[in-house]
This record gives sequence, C-alpha cells and structure tokens, in this order.
Amino acid sequence: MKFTISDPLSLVAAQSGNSATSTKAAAGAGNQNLTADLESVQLGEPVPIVFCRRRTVGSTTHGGVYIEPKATEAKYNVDPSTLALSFAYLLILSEGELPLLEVQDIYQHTCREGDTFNQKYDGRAGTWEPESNVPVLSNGQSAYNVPAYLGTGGSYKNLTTFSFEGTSYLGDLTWSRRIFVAVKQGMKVTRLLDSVNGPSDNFVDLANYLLAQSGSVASDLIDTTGFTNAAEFTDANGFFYNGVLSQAQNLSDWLQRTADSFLLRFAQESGKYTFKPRLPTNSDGTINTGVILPEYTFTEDHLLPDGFEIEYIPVEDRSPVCAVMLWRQQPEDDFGIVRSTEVRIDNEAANGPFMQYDLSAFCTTENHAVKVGVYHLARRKLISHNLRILVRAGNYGQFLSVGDIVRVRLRRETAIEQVEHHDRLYEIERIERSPGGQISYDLTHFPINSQGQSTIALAVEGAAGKGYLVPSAGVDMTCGINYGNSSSVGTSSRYDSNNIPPNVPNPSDIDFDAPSPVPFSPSNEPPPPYGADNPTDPFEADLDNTYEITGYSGNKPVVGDSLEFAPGGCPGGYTEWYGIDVNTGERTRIGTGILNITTDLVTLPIRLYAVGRCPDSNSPTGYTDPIESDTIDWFQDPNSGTIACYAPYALGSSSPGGNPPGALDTSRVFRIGNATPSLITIKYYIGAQPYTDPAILSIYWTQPDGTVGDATDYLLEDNGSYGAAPSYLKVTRPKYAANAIDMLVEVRKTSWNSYYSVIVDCNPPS
Amino acid sequence: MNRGQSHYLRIYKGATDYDLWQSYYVNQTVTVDSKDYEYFPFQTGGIQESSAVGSIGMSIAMPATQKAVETFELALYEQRLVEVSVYEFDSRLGNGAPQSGQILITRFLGQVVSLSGSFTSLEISLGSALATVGSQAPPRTFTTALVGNPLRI
Repeated sequence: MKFTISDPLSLVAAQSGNSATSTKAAAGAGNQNLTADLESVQLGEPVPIVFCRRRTVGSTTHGGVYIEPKATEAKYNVDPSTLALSFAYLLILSEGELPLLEVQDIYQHTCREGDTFNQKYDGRAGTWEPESNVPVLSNGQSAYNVPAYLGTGGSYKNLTTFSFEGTSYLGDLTWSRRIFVAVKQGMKVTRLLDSVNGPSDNFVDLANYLLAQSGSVASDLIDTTGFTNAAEFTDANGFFYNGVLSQAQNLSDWLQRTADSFLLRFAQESGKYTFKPRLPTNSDGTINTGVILPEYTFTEDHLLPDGFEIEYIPVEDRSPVCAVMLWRQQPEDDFGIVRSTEVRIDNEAANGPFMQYDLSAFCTTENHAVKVGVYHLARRKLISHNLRILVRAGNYGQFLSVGDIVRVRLRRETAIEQVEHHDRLYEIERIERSPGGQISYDLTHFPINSQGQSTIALAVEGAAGKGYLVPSAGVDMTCGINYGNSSSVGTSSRYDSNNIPPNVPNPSDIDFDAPSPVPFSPSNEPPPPYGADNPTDPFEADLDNTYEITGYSGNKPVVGDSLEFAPGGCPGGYTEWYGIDVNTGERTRIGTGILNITTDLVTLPIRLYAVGRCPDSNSPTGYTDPIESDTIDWFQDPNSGTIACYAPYALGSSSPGGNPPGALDTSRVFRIGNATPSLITIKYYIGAQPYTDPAILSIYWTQPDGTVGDATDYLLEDNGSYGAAPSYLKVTRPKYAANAIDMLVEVRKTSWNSYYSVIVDCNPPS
Repeated sequence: MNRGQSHYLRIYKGATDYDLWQSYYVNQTVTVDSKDYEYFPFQTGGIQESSAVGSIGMSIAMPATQKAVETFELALYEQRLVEVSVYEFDSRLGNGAPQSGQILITRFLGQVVSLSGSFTSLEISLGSALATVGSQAPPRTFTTALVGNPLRI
C-alpha cells in the first residue's frame, strides 16, 4: 500500500515568494574597500565570473562593474641609482574571455596609474618573468617590503589574465595597493536573444551559462524556449545583471534567490528547468497591463469531493512594510556607489518596519530596484490566500502549466435563494498528476481590478525611480597619468595555455587520470567465483545425541539392558518411556527414568521410544519442551519383518483376485520365545460360496543357530460353514535350545477362488 | 468512464534510444511517433511541476525483473535521459491499439536520480542531478594547473 503525502498548503506562500525572504540587514554586497592592499589568489577559491555590459538603453547609460582582481605572479626590480621600484603583477580578471580593456579603466588605489598593460585570454598576459632584486638599505632594512614568493604561473586555461606594470618611489606604498579594473564589457557568452557571442547583461544568459558549465544538467533538461522568453522579459523591462560572481554557492539556491530580483521564477516544467516571469507578459516581453483572461475556469463540475482547500496568508506576511532597496549607481568613470531607495505604499510604514532587499551586487538601474520593491509590496498588500484544488481528469491537463492563470468559480449557497460565488483568478504554482488521472493544483490568488487587469502588474509597470544621481564625493577622480586614455591595453603574452614553458606545471605532470574501468553492465559483473562459506551456527545444529537411546548394543536391546535417554546429554532430565502397539498403533506409557529390559517387556508387541525433558528452572513445569527419541523398532512393523508371537495375530487375508494361485500371498516371521507354549494354534476361515477353494499354509522353523528347516505344508480347507465358523490347525513348536526360535508362516492360494483369513495364536487358551 | 490513459517510457541519450516501453497494450508492440514501444508493466507515481525547484520529479514502479534492473542500473550509471509520456484517448473507440486521435497530455523528462525497491519490485525516481546542497557556482576553482604556485602576499 502506498501513501502520497503532499506539502502542506501553507508552504505554498513561502514557495511562491509571498513570505518574507529578507532575513537580515547587512552591508550592501556592492560596497568596495578602496584602500585595501592587493590580494593574491588562493588555491581552491572560486574563479570569478565578471558578467556585465555597459550600454545605453533608451536615454540611460548603465551597467559595468568595478572589480578587484587578485594576483598570481609578481616582479620587483629596484633601480639602484634612484631606488625606484618597478613592479609588475599578473592578475586574474575573470573566467572566460573579456573584451580588451581601455587604459583609462585601470586604477591602482583610486588613481589611473600604471605604465604598461597587457591582457590575454587563455594564456599569460605580459612578457616579464617573476623575479625580485630589492636591495637592503644601509640601515639593514629592505628598501621595499615585497613578498618573498612571487608565483610560478600556470596554464590560465579559459581565463582572462591582465598584466599591470608600474613604478613607485621610496615612501610610496601605491605598489602594494589593490588594483581596480572598470569592466564595461564582461565575459563573452552566447546571448539567447540574438545568438551573438559577446558580453551580456541578461541574467538568463548567465543562468544558462552556469547550468551548462555545472555539468550536472543535461542540455535536454533546459527549456530553451522558456529561457528565451524570460530573457525577453528581463530585457524589455530593464532588469539587467552587472556584477561579479565570486563567492561559492549552491547553484540551485542562487538561481532561485537571484531570479526573484528579476521578477522571474526558476521552475521545473515537465522535468525541464525554465524561467517564468512573475507578471503577465505580452508577446514582446513587456508587462501585460491589459485584461487577463484565464486559461481555464474550474467549477463544481471539475472538483472532486473534498477537493477544495484554502489557506490565507498570515498577517506577518501581509502587514505594511517599507522596502529598502539597495542597488548600485554605476558612473561612467567612477567607482560604483551603493544606493538605497525606500519604497512604500502611500501613507503606509512611514517609520517602518523596514525590509531590506540587497540588489547592489548586480543592479545598476534605479527603475529595476524600484519595480522589484513595488512588486514585493504589492504582493503583500493584494494577495490574500492560496488554494489547492483536486480535479478529475480533463482536457485541461494537456495545456495548463505552472504560471498559467486560471479561474475558480464555485457556488456558495448559505441560505434559500441566497447564492454567492467564490470567483477568483489564480496563478498555478504546482501541478501534481496522479496515476489515476486526478490532478491537484496549488494556486496563488491573482488579484485583478474591475476591468480584469492585474493589479500587481499595474503597480509594477507604473513604478519608476526618481532619477536622482548621488555625487561620488571623490576627491579627485581625474588623478593618474592615464586619465582620459581610451586606447586599448596591449596583448603581449609570455605564452598561452597550449604552449606553456617547462617550469609551468603541465596538467599531465600534476593531475591523475585513472584508467577507464571496464564498461559497466550488470551482465559484465560476474558473481563471486567461490561458494558460500558461512561458519556453522551451533544453535541451528542438532544437539549431541539428541534423539539417541543409550544402554544397549547391537540393533535391539535385550533382556538385562538398562535404557536411558538424555536429549543433548543434559543431566537431571526427566524421561518417560512409551510403547507403540504394532497392531493398533496405540501409545502406552510403560515407564520413567531408566528402563530396565525384562523378559516381560521384551515380548511386548511394541515399538519403543522415549520422551525426554531437560531441567529448566524458568519453565512453569520445571522442564523444557519434550524431545522425542528415535524409535527402537524392537518388535517389527506389523506389516513386515519378525514379530513376537505371544498373542493372536492376524496374519492376513485375501479376496478374489490379487496374487495368482501358487504365488506367495502373505507371510510373516514370528519369534517364539521360551515362554511360549509348545502348541501353537493357527485359526483360519475359508471364504463363503463360491470362494471356498483351499489355501496352503507353509511353516518354516529357524533354529537359534540360523538353520532354516524344510517347510511343512498344511492344507486349509473349507469346513462347510461358508466362512461363518473357523477351523483350527495345531502346530507344535520344536524344542531346541533355551533361546527363542523363529517361525516363518507363508500362505498361498490354490486358485483364484481362494478366500481365506488366518490368525496365528502362540498362546491359545488351554 | 470514457477517458483512457496510456503511458510510454523512453530511455535515451543523444540520438540513441535504448529502451522503449509502454504499459497499456498488453503483450503488444505499438508504434507512436515512429517509435516502436514494446509492452512492459510499469506504473507512474504522478508527475509534478512546480515553481519551487528541488523536490520535483516523478516515480515509476515496476517488477524487478532482470531486464528492468539492468536497464535502470545502466540508465543511472550512464546518466541517460528518461522520458515518460502520457496520452489520453476515448476508450469507447477501442483499446486495442493507439488511436490516431489520442492527445499527449503531459510529458516528463528527467534522469534516474534514485533507484530502490525490493527483490521483486523496483522504484525509480526521475528528476535532475542538480544537487540542492554543495556549491556549483562559480563552476571552477583555482588549481595548480591553472595558476601554479601563486604569489603569496
């Protein structure tokens, strides 16, 4: 039996973004420390991705990002005459290929300094080699406190590297300061909207690149059409990404979290990853502020019994707040300025509470930030509940998908002639299809006005920033010899990733390629080439001597033997002895404890066995469960072998048919002990008409020494009573030694009409 | 009840189809979209779509025959794609063969993300291998091969 457990409906609010997601206030991620020292790359940290594109959209130029690249190699040379320090750094700009920078975009500290610049993709920029010849001054100190380890270089495969060469003089610490680069055109990717391989500021392009590079998602699992539509949406509405991805994080989390800042939802549809705009859109990607028509209307005809569940958004997710939107004002030729814009609904939350949304790492337009803020506020204000409906199978199953708008219209009759309707539009958040055809839809309230327009879409479309630009307050942003130099940096390079010098580690020298294992297939994997070899479990084996009766030798006990039975050899056990009557099968208890075999006992027509119990103080009876011994077939099975002859024994009878005349029809060996009288009576009946033909009874005597005597034949004839009265045959037992002798009795028919019954009585009444 | 649903399962990678199964037309091989699907009994556990990424997928249950176990062990190991299609049709028009008017109501594409079951039954979960834990962005880190022994400041 299988059970299906669905997420509680209350979780839909969080999953759809209706619950508060801003957890804590922190410094905007777009802030930069302009006075910090240069840092070096550490092995193991992520390779940064610079993703931006400065361009003019409408009348606004926006985009680009200032980065703080880290160094991997350095060179320090001091001019002995001037003690000027010539230094060079090899910096990692980004994963992938960046277009050539302009000279005026390079800063050391906050000024456009530097002598020589080179940039290289997929190789090592600059031609200098790491070295240091910093002298020691007369006071015993080094002229410049430069690092001792200068770097060895690597392949720089698929990286954009940058060589910065400059000069400093004694007392000037600029040589150790952080280098900033204003990247206006970031990493090249294949853009979804125009298929051009170039810089992009579309978040969906970055998402597409990251999913492909992750290696975890097959290309078939990416909904390219959905991605393209989402890219159109962000581009059409001015939601751009200009930032650096340098902190290691979970891709799935990052995509969901960041998509929210672009009014997108990262979803899965039919197993494929896709992006869906959170607002209704037109075919060109702009926000649809027209009448919203639902894809389908659900009524009572569709809902299954108990197929309606509603959950209202809790008050803490609906109370008025002021959204503090952090974004980054990115001037053409200055460092980015983290800005805050407080967004609130008129006359609400004038003094808070405040909810901060940090978009400063990638958002460079005020409109973008304001629209996202208005979206969050409008959802809080206008969306009141979530719904879950369970509907029967229907044709809607083929065309409804996550993000579609549907209508739920249900009659509510609370009194006679008082009919109202639950009649709302909803956005589909989740679809669950059961094997039986039923479909469960998780829906979020989609508020509309009286004209049928989405009120949230109207609010977002109508939102815009004020356009105020905060001055940078920089002391002198024209400092540096390279101010205004728009020429491109150089492209000199020591080597590229395909032609690295011997002192640079080659991946084949440091990486290990394990030999490819035998292609896996269940049929290729053989079973173990050995059998099972489990140790013996002593508690599953029989106890020693479990069923054996002791106290005799040979095949059968004789007079004078003392029989004992102790299952498993347990001491202090309790034993009962039983005999099974060979003729009737009746069981009779004949003794306990040690059984002494007497003459009387040995002549009983029984098979002997014992029932033993071991002591067990925890048992109510004081003993364990009974264990039966083997059976001593002392007195032969009535149907075969030798039996004691001490009481009347029915040898056998026959009926017409059966064995042919003259053939052995029945036989038995009787053991006749010394106590048996010498006269043995054989009682017989001959059958009724017409089965009155005689039978022949033969007797053979076996002496104690094993000698078998000749047969003595006796004719068993009808006595005229037609089988009603018996006849008797008297046989005298030969006298031999005192031991018992065996009497073999055989009966044969003389014809097919021999019908007889023979009873051997070794102790007939006198 | 006029609505019938038939399920089709396709295991492929690139342009190669490895297995094509259907669970409706018993002991028959049927052709849909120019592909021949042989009969194999399996049951799907419902298809999910959601705006919340992470727990989305579907399950398939089937007898754990040698063929089924081998097929899905390979699919898991080689990260093959599994596509489950569900068609609806009017059962009043017959159940002997796929109808020309049958409608594709849903199609789920995923990879085998987990495999479990008993000796007699196999449970397959389809979804995506994109892990919800661990870091995958940015995709690369600095290694010795990339940057050698870097400058130490």
